[in-house]
Order: sequence, then structure tokens, then C-alpha cells
Amino acid sequence: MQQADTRSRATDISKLVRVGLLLLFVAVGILVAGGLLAQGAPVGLDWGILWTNRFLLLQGAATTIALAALAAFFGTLIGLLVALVRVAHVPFLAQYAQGYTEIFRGSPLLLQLFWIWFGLPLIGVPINGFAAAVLGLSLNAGAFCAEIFRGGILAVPRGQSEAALASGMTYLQTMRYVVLPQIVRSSLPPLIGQQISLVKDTSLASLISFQELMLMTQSIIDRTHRIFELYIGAAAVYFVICYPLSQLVRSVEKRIGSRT
Amino acid sequence: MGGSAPHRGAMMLAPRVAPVFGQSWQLLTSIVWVGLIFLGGTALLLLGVRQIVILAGIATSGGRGWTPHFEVVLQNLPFLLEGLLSTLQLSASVGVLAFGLGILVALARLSRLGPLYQLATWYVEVLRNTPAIVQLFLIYFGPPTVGVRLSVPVAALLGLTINNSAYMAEIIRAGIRSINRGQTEAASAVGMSYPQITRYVILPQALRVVYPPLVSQWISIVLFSSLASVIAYPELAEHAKRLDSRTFRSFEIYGAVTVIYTICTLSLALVLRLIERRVFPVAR
Amino acid sequence: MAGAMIEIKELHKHFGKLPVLRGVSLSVAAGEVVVIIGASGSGKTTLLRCINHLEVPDSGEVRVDGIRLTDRAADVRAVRVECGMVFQQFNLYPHLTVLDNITLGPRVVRKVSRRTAEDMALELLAKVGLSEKSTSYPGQLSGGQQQRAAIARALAMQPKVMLFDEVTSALDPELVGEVLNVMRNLAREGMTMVVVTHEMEFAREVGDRVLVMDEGQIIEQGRPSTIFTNPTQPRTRQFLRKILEKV
Repeated sequence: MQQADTRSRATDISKLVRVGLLLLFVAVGILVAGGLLAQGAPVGLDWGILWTNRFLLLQGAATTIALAALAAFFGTLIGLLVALVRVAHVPFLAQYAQGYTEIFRGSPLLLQLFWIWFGLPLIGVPINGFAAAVLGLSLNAGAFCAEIFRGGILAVPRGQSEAALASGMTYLQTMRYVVLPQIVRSSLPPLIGQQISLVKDTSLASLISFQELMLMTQSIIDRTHRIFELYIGAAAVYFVICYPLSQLVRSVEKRIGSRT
Repeated sequence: MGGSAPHRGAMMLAPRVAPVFGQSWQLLTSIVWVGLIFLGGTALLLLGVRQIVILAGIATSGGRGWTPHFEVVLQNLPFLLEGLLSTLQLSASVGVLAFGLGILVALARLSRLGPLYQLATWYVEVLRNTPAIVQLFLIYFGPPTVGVRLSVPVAALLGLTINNSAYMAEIIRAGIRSINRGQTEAASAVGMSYPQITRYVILPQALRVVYPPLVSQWISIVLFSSLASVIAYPELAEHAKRLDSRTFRSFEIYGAVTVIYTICTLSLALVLRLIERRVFPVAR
Repeated sequence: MAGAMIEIKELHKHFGKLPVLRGVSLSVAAGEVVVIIGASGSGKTTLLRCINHLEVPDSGEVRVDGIRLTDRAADVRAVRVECGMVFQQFNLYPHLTVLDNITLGPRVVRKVSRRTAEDMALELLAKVGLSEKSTSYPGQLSGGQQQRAAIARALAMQPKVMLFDEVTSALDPELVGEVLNVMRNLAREGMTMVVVTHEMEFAREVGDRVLVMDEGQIIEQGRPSTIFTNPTQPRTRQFLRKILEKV
């Protein structure tokens, strides 16, 4: 039996947390109030600024979604290929794939983007902001997808691949008809989770001068100086894209759990 | 060892025995081997792309005369390692603080009190569904508009801690929920109070269960510490940027720093796994 | 060639430092039913799996129906197509119906049309007594039914040889009989079979020849009647005593 939410015994624990949070609130309240008093002016948050710039913001949002979708597509493809190569233990290619996976999962996306955007042109490869962003995000996503797929493939009992191979199927046929169909269900939640991260990761493309939502927001801020409202507005856009996806993950997990 | 067929079909069945983890020597040599193949392969790949681009006549003007100058990295290694130290310090602080805060939020998410649960849920959902960089910018650039000025280190620490606490909270909560109800019943039967049960019975077991995802999150903290460079916090990514603006050897610098991070996170993962064996010996 | 269906010469194999096959040679004629018995670790399963290249010997030669088994993908596939294998753990594909399980091999490997494959599959299902289960999923079948479906799946490739790897060891006792029945019928129809098993009754009744393996070598072989009543080797006697004591 699962430990149901300890809701049924909230007393001591939640009392402690309640007090803690109350203190936190009071502290923040004092800070903000103190700051306001120091300013001497009433705080006026101009939310209208978001409406005024709605087209620019929507443009940024659209670019963000497009970037994320592209990187998700390539990333999934790369991930699948890399996973297949690794599981097949193709000499040299499998080691290369392993190195790729370790490096792109073990280092910050920020630096990967910098290396592509600043480094490649230096060795002679011409690349624009869009291509750099797509490449960097795809390679990064690809490494994570590779691990997801590899885990799924290894979870399929080995005996089934043996049976398929014993009947004369090739490695690729075995993957296509026997193994991969079975990992679709189990890989879906982490895969969608990965895509949610990808949407958030697109914000880093602003740092290599690609005009997505973050950069758009920042240029509006430079004009209007309305920092709070605009960053919160941008955050809201990301939230509106990501939250439904995270709920989707939850419902997919539930459905898988019930069918097993 | 026997069993590996060179042809494709059987290749999938190749090593039936997974490499023995206990042999650190084997592990080290295989890591070095993989690293060499990857670096060599990538070097070949890039050189090939460069040749194609040059032959096609679309090479960038600066790129034609490029030769590798990795000594720039070697000469400034102390500077970069300073940054690495700073990264590790920041990550350690965030790791501990976010973990502690995460436990509190997790407990709030499990509480029966409506408002508390709602609050905690909003906290977690907002932080997990918005980019960390937006949160960081809000914390650093926001307060000055109302006269409160946070220093760079404080803003970085606060921003990263709050962001990661949301992920930690979900991981810990999942762990707590997976603990058998019978444990709580047994403990309360001997007269322990609920805070005591949580502290001595539930949490230790929950943490053992979710240790792997926690390790992932800690590694993620190290990686995301690089965001602090955007608000000029002097950690490894920021030192890399400064070195780049001084020497313009972007390819070598960012490439090398990427490798440094990778070695760092791989070692960290290894160390944390070894700690797991000590702290959570497999008793089952 | 002397017309032997399976020809094995001097197989040697090590798993790391452990020798698993130490110079095993064997010849199986068409239509012959060879039963291999022995203690676990004697190498009998490894020997069987070397026939269709699921295990790769360090040295030695394997020929099936005249085709020499090498490391070349084409040769391996040519041999595997002629060998149908049935596993201890059934290894049915859980995401496909029983019918699809059976038709997958012929359609993908032999490029048979779906229609033809399904007709053949239904015939085979009737043969193993599972006609009404064609649209069921493996998870809905009992162990004995799954194994019979696995046999039908192997037969669908129209192999010249059937390899059985301890196919009843994972079954509840009351389900063993139905599987052995199917195997008995197959033998009667003249299929060349190599069977690794602990079922001594089956070996006695259906086997043309019994091989006893111990520590990677064939220590004795002969007709079932001889082996079971008058084994010559002391180790054979030891092994039989242990096995038959349990029965």
C-alpha cells in the first residue's frame, strides 16, 4: 500500500512549515515595504505595457515555439540513431556516440552554444544565429534523448531480440518490429519532459543573439525600463506553453501505470 | 573475451557481461579510450567540414588562416581552475540550500492544509515551468526598481537555490510517497510523534529511494551554475568568457571548458555514487 | 557431405577464463531426434546456441544443411532461417497478437505476403492446438499455451531443424505434457530436432539418440535404452542417479 499523502496527519509538520512560511512572508513584506518607502513613491506596475507590446511578445513566443519544435525533432532523431548505434556496439561508432552523450549531457548548454556560435566561425565555418541555436539545442537534446531511448531499449528483455534474430531478422528489423514498438510507451513521459526542458532552454539562445522571446523581451525593456512587468510577462508565456505539457506528462504516466 | 561476433546481427548480443564497476582501472581506461575516440573523431569531422567550406569558397574570412592554439588554454589554466573552484563552491551552497528548502516544500506539498498545499503547488509549478534565466533576471534586475539592490553573489545564490528547490521538492515528495504506509504505522505504534517519524523513519528511506534522481539534480545544479555568468558572477563560464574576450580563441577556450565541465560532472557523479554505497549500504 | 543435417566439428569456447565447450563434435542426420542431457554448466545450452550463432565458438566448425556457419552476416542469416529455436522463457513478443507473433518472421525475413503468412499461421495454430487463441496476446495465455505458440512461431519459418532449449523447465508441471505432445508429433512427422532437456521420459520415448554432456564435453552418447539402463561412464551414472532420484 502506498503511503497516501500525509494530509491526514497535517498537525505538527504543517504547523512548522506554516510558521516558517509566515516568517518568510513577513520578511519579504518588510523588504518590499522598506524599499517602497525608500523610493518615496507608490509602486505603479504598468501591466498595460504587456498589451502595448503584445505583437512583439507574440512574435517572440512564436519563434521560441518554432525553435523548440525544430530542436525537438532533430534531437529525437539524433537520439534514436545514437541509441541504436550504442546498443549495437558498432566498433568506434559506439564509443564516439558514448563520448558525444557524456559531453553534451555533462556540460552546460550555455557553453555548447557559445562554442558553436563563437568558435565555429573562427575555424572557417559560417553560421548564423538561427542555425547555431538549432544546432546547439538539437545536439544537447539529442544526448538526453539518446539516454532515454537507450534505457528503454535495454529494458526490453533480451530474449525477445534473441528470438527475433534466431528467426533470421537483421538487427534493424529486430529493432523496428520487436524492440522499438515496445519502448514507445515507456519512453513517452521522459521524452515529453525533455521537450519541456527544451522550451525553457531556448531562452539561452538569447545569449547568442538569436531573436526569440527572451531577447525580444529584453529589447522592450531597454526601451521602456519596465523590468518587472516584462520579465513576468515573458515568464507567463513560457508557463502557458510548458504547464500544459507537464500536465500531459502526468496524464500519460497515469495511463501507462494503469495498463502496465 | 568470447562471445562478441564481429557481424551486425550478433553485435546486439555482444557483451553479455556488463563491465565490472569495481575495477576502477578498467573504468578509467575505458573512459580515456572513449574520450580519445570522441575527440579524435570530432577533430576529424571539424577538419573535414572546414575543408569542404574552404573548397566551396564560403569560408569565413577569419577562418582561412586559422591554426589551433590550445596553449592559450594551458597558459591560463590557473585562471580557469579558479573559476572551476568558484563554480563548485556556488554549486555546493545551492545544492545544500535547495535540498533543505526542497524538503520543506515537499512536506508542504504533502500537507492536508488547503492553503499550504496550494501555495506549495504554485511555487513548484511556476518555478519548474519557467526558464531559470528569467527567474535569475527577475531576482537580480527586479528589486532595484523598488530600491532594493541585491549583490551579484546573493542574487545568484538566491535565484539558483529557489529554482532548484522546486525540482528537489518534487523528487523528495515522490520518494516520501513511495514509502510504505506500514512504516508510519509501526513507528507511531511505539509512540513516535509525526515530526520524529518524518525525520527518523520516512525521510531516510525516501532519500535512499530517490538518491539517483537527486544525484542528477545535483549535477544539473553544477551545469546551471553557468547561468550565473550572465549576471557576471565569476565562476568557470564567466572566466571562460573573460578569457575569450581577451584572446579571441573562442574555439579552443569554449571547447576546453566544455571538456573541463564534463570531467567535473563525471567525477562528481562517481563520487556521489561511491558515497551512496557508504551511506546507503545495500542491506536488502 | 555425408548428408548430415547438422555437422559440428571440434567446438571450443571460453567465457572469459572459464572453458565451456572443450572440443565438441556432433553429427545429426536428417529426421533424427537428438536429446542432450547433463548437469547445468555442462555446456549443453551453449552447444545448442552455437548451432544458430547465438553463441560464437572460439574455434571449430558448424554446418547446417551444408551451409557453413561463419561470421559473415549473410551466412549467419542463411543458417538461422533453417533453424527454428524455442526458448525456455518463450520470448513471445508481448505487443503483438499470437497470430502476428507467428507471421512476423515469414513476412519480414522470407518476404511472404500477409495473407499467405496468416493462412499458414492458422494451420500451425491448429496443429499445436491453439486455433481459438490467434487474436489473443501472449500475456493472456498460460505458460503451456505460450510455449506452444512459440513452437508454432518457430515452425512458421519452415525450418529444416528445430532447436529446443529446456523448453519445459519454466512451466508448471501440469502444463509440461501439452508441450511435450506437440514435440512428440513433430518428431513423428520427421523433423530434425536437437533438444536440450531434463525430461527423461521424453528422451527415452522420443529420442533417437541421447547425448550426455559434462564439463564441456560429450562423455557418452547412444540409444536412449542403452544410456538409461546401461550407462558406461561413471559420471553419467552419477548424473542419472541424481536426476532420476528426483523424478
